[in-house]
Amino acid sequence: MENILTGKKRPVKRKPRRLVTPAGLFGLLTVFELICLIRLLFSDAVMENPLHLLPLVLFIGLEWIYYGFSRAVGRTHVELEASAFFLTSIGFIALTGVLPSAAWMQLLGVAAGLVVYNLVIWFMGSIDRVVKYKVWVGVGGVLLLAANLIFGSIIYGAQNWIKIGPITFQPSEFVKIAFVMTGTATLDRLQSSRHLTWFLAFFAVCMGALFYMGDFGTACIFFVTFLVIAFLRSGDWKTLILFCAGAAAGAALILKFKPYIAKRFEAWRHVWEFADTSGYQQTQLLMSVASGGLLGLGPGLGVLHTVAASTTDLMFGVVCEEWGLLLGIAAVSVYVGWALFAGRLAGRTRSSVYSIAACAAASLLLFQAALNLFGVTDILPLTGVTLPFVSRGSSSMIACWGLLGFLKAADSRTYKQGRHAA
Amino acid sequence: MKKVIHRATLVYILIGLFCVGMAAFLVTWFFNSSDWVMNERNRHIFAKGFMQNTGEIYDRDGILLAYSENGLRYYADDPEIRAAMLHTVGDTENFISKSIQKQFSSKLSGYNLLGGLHMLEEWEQGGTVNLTVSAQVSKVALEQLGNRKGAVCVYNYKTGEVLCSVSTPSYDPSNKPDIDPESEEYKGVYVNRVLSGLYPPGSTFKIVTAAAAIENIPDILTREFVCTGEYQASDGVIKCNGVHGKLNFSEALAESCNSVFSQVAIELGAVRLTEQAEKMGFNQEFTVDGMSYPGGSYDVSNAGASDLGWSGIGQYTDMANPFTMMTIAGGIANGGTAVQPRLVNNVLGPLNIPTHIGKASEGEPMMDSSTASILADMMHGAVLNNYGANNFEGLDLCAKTGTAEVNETDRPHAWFVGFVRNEEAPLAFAVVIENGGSGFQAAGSVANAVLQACVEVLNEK
Repeated sequence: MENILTGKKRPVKRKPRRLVTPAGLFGLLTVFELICLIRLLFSDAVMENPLHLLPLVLFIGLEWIYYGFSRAVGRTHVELEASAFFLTSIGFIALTGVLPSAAWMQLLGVAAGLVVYNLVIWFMGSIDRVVKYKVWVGVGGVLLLAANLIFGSIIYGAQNWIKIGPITFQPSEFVKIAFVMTGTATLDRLQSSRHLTWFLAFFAVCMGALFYMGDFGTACIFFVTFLVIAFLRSGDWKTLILFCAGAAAGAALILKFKPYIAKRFEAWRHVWEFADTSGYQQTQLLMSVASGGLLGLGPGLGVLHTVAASTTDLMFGVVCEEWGLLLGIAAVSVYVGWALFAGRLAGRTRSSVYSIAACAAASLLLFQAALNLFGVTDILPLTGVTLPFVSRGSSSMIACWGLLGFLKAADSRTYKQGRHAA
Repeated sequence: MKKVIHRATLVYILIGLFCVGMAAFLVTWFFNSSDWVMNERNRHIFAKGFMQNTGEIYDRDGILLAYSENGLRYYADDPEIRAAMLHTVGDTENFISKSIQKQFSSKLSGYNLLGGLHMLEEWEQGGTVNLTVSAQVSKVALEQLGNRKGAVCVYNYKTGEVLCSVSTPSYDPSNKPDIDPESEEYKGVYVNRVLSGLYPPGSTFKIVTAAAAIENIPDILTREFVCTGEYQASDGVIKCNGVHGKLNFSEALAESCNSVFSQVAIELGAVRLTEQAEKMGFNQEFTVDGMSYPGGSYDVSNAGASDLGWSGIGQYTDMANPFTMMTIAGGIANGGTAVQPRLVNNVLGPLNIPTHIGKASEGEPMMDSSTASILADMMHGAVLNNYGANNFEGLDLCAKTGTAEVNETDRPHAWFVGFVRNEEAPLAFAVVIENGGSGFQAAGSVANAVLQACVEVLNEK
């Protein structure tokens, strides 16, 4: 376009170029996974039975199927999924090195997680739908918890497992999705602290059930998520502080009157003194992380995988020991990235329901990661929660993808149809 | 909407807390990971508390002293070398605390922050420690000590290289016998007596008293003394080992005359004697390759006149350490300032990258060089006139014996401390034999055999 008066060309406004195209991003991810796959070829487990690599190959295939689907429904941005796949693949690769037989269930979890992820995105697509079904979501959550209390069996000290035939799952994981959804949906369109009653009641039921099951880690996660939702809705620092003080007082009372609960945390900050008893998992993890160095020992060469709950609660240690602390840090930074993403989205969404849901989901994932990481590394007491997307466990995997759906739903680009990437 | 933007601060607070937690972990990791790796519970290196999987240790001539294979620890081929080097190399259980295997455990494993234990785990390549110690010489020392308890150490006083370091009782770590550390046979078997042993020095302490006298009493060398078989102090009597009659100071050292030395000690006084003892290492703490060892103890703060006299001849409450006595001899030989001894020549990491290189370094001056030279001549005179130069063929030896009384019933500890004046073989040594009896008779031949072996090893190069 030429300016008639000056004859100069008007500078053409260009769209800011992306660093990497969506396909490029998935390409990079695949390169990373293939490098790890080649390394796995030399591990004892795969040398013994090359079929152990099949779940990983299918996992990479699943990523590209998802990529195709994503383009087909017109989504132009895949950073969120790519980062989640990155995290998932780290867990998947580490699992292949130490417990390849479990990789099939994990693959199933990822596939189911992707379905739930898209269901959440679809459900959140219409604000009317969200408001309309809010009660049912809450009721569903309560029913899940009730089922847990009635049919639940105790594994690793907490009654949060249900067994149906050969399948075991943790309903409390799915309640996380219901919790975020109920917390935000009861908001209506007004920024008021009314209609909070529903949510408060649901929160109380969840906390009660979790305490009854002895799952204190998950209870903490629900509490923090509740704080985030309550604060984003009310903006009241005083209420926030009041809740925190109440929780602290409650915790102090529990520890005073139920000393056996306090005993569970006796090793905190003293793990080496309890290295053969209640500090066993933490000290084993610290020694393994140190032995792995920044670059890791290589798949199957670690020793942490022989410790109980190594591929669930201690998965961070297995990743660091065999694949290096650098990869562990890379994985951890993803949670921070999501929380920053959610924080930046706040106020830019078409309804504050989306902002709050995204902030709540990202905070939940970040806090759960914190409880896991800092619990096993003795920065915080050990509570036994999983590391989102990385730990083995299908229920957890499905719930994590579901929660990620709230972040995707808050991204205004998600529902713009028919546009193609530059 | 703006409200929500503002309220998202809470999310950023959570991110901040998360980063603080992560930083706390990474800082702890950075400063402690080496300790975590070396924890006896770490199954990469230890099995049931035994250090099995780690790097190799060689003697100065490349003799393999310790290595791991398929997660098990092995030692030298020669069973006598295994026993002779036990306290220097260390044991699989890590009971011997003053040992290379314990002190260099982290470097031996090849551990580093970047690769962790990767080289050890995947390629069976840990670090390598190359010692200055000669396995052959140590073997001779062990043979000489036989079933007597004691310590022998020799070092090159020009370079600081320790050639011999042997502590008995010992055992073969590859065929460990049933050991009751309380039994008479194996009492203190896990103690490296060279570095941890503390014994009354007896007459070897006369070296210290002599140094103080030469530095502080101008006419000491021209004075004439009379020994009547004892010295009468104001509050007691110090017995001598003989009746030496008229003699000068040099002759007094050669005869190891208690009358003269207790008299001189009392004349010097507690302050000057303590000052000299501390300059030579007493009441101090030293380290060799990171392992601490005592300089001995000399405390006359509550001593009366006769106590001071006894302290000047190495009795009273005096305590000496073999490694320190060797260093004192090295200091005299080296002109008054000792080159600090060292056991490790170098340490190589994985891929043979040096992670530690031993270097000669001088300690604090012990005495003037003129004093050192006079003292050396006096110690040489002792060998010529008393111990007999033909007992030390080919060695220009300067030395002092010690027969340290322990109590009424047990035989005294036998000491022999000194050095060889030879540019080709600059060797300083200390030998102590527990309840060995007379210093020269018990320790003299041990010192000779070990020194001859050292000269041979040095000449081979």
